[in-house]
Amino acid sequence: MYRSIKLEDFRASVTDSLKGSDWWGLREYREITQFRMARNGQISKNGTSVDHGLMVEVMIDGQIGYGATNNLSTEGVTKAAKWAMEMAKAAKIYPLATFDPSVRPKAVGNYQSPFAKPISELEASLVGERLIRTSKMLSDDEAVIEAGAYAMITETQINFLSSNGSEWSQNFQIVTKDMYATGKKGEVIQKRSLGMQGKQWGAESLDEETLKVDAQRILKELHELLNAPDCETGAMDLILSPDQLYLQVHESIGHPLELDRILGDERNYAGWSFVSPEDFGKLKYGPEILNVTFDPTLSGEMASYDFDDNGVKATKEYLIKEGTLVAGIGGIESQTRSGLNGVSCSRATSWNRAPIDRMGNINIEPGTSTLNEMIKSTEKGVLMQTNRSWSIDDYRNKFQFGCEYARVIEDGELKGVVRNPNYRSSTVPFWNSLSHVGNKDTFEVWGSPYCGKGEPNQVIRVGHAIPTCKFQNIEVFGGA
Amino acid sequence: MSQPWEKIFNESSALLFKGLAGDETLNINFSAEETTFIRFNAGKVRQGTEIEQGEISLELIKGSKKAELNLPVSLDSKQNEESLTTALAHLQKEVATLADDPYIVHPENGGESRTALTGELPKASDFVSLIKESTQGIDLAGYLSMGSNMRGNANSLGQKHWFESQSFNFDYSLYTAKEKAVKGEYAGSNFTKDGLLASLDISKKALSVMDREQVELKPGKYRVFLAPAALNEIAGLLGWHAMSGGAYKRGDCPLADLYEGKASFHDSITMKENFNLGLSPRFNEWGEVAKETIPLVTKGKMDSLLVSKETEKEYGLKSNQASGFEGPRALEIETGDLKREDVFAKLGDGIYLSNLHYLNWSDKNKGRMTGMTRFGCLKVENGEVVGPIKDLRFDETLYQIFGAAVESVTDFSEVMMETGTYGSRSLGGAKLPGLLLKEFTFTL
Repeated sequence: MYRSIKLEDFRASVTDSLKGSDWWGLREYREITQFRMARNGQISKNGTSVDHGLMVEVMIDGQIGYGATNNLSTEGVTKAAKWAMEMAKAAKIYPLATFDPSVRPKAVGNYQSPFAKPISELEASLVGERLIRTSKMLSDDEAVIEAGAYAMITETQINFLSSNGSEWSQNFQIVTKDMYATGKKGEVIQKRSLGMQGKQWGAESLDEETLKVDAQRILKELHELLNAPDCETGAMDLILSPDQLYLQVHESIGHPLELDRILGDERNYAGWSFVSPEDFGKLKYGPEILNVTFDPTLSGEMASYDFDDNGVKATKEYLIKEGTLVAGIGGIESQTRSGLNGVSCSRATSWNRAPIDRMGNINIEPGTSTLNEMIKSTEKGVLMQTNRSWSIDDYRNKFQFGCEYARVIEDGELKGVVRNPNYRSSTVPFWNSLSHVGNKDTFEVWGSPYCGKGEPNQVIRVGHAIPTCKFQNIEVFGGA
Repeated sequence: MSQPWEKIFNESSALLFKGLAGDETLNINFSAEETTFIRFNAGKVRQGTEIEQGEISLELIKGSKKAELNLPVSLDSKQNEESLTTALAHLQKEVATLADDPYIVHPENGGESRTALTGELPKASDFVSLIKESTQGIDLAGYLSMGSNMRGNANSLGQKHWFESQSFNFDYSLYTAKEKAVKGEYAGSNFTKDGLLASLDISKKALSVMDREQVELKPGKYRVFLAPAALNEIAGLLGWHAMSGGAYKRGDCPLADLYEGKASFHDSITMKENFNLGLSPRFNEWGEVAKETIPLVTKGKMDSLLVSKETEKEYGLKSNQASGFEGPRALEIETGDLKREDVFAKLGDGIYLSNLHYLNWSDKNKGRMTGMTRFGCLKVENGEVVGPIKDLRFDETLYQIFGAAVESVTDFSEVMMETGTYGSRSLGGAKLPGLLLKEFTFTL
């Protein structure tokens, strides 16, 4: 359903339009997303979304301007080139920073995301049938008032060509899935879900037997929640499973380390950061067992790639090493502006937005503790799973999270289920209360397609591979 | 301004309807924009982008089966013809393979409408020059978005609606050296230099208060004044299932108790959808034209939830032409009798909340939310400003905020345009007063 274009075909007209520029680049972005959903044993959504357009970037006298269009004729692209030039000239009137072409290094290569089975096996009718069966399994229960299952199947290709010889292409196949059941018992209403699971994978993502096993567990845990007491209030130890901890990392490590936030670009919207440039190399973010990496090389994680949208080669880098902050999440422009260490993370949500600093894959490296050791070492605590609510301030300090499901821990033993579990704390004290980092057996790959920031706004896919971790003496509370 | 895009909408619709088989119906939604974005940090240009884009959304119904497809359209008719023909063929092939959908909303012919709102917008380079002249020595962050925004709806039964507007929105904040900030916005359809300077002047004056020493407050209950911009954040959460008929039926509605009459808001609270504000089209994605006003809450009692045609079909609630998302599109909360000049005196000892940030439900079914204070929030004692507060986290229910805690509602309100630009520039907004609350719970 795409119009087939070759960026090379635009080279002559763009070169002519942008005569005298320091540098120019063309970024074609095309994406097909199928969104299919079933509710209560019936199909509810069969949607396909096609996105295809092109951005022209030009650098003139050190200022970069952007022009974007989905008119993919020579006339349309030439017009976009002229807009980009006008934007660069407008920036020159009162520029924040001045760059040179080194912020757009030459890059050549191809990336193909991994898969076991081709995504083309996921025909509309097949996906629909599996989702209908899953939602029927979940809804065939007298306590359930609503159940659903969905899959978002995305194929993305980014092609890039530039005046200094860059020519690269990256192909991504991503499936995000979830299922849920909402139940009611008396006045108590509870919801249990899979938690949104998104990865770079293929048709194996919607394996029928896995869907069935997940649905059975969700239904069982929903009943446990409907019969559970409210979570106790008080200070206690907290064990977080990867399906909650990944969002904790995202909000309280990922965002505050973004260099564009630290530089103030995001102050008016997403927010600033409690981290200042002087903190790099010094700030004790957590204990020595805390190692956080930017890792675009982990196979199958949602934001694995070879190049960012500035064409910078993507490599694994430590952000927090043995508890100390060592690098920020900032692409080559932010590194140039700040003089700080960064990573290859300048990305745009699509063809119609300029690249900015984005998280990519932000992971906690596995430690040495087993889950059993964490439980055994807990006198009074709670183990929480699956995020249901999140909120944090614009400096990324004071946060509050809610989870779907929790188990009480008393005297080193896992006890009953509690509903409406929440916790709140502040970022640096929280991470410094980390007492155990789970080993590889507890390590899971999670990701979200919905990380938002930027002016204009951009939503982008991020990955978080995380072990289970334990924190000491955290403020925990229940429902209203 | 938008004749080329209206022409594309008309010719695309005609092409698609011509390709339908006798037992097929097609509903089309169209959106397009020509937008300039200029992003500022430290008062200077960080990034500038010029965009032209169009999108068409097709909903093909054949008997009891339905398939949807969104695809790009541009001002190049030849490109569109190729891609639309391919897309329709794809949908026609796919729809036959799909399972039956029992809750399909079949299109009807709801007639035709056309709204065109023109404006005066500055050149990008002139705007940058103005900012350079007027913000010397001021730390400003934010962005300008401006241009034409178009929406259309048509179906194969002959219905057709068109909406277009030209607007600008300069969404910004100013900062002191101590990192305290005030939020400003200059938005509308007719840009003037004087209008921009007046907005910046108000913000600069407000910023001078922020230089006072920061006040660190302990968590607890405080009297608060929610300024319209702060209330707008809470109103945003109302759109997240709180007024949705479908969410109510699915056990996911924070205001279920209000709807069922088990709880009420304060009798000074009246809420309605008011499309007379001109902030968004009255037609929804099925082309249904809503009434000019839809009462939602009158004197503390809920009149109705927002109910779409889909929810009507599935659950039997009566539709009030809501969008599929069933959130307010043009919310207005009526004013009360608290005068602007009395706000600080009536607050007495408490906190003036100018803005809030990052709201989310902390116990959704009970209408309880959490969030943060943001930008110029002030400690007030004896009706006088003491200084800006260190940010606090709150955790409170809608039933307190609009119910038991309400002391008074301001006699003025402010129109706040939707500023979202995810994917494309949003339309919509709200007209909201300020609220004086007897108590508000801060937790961290």
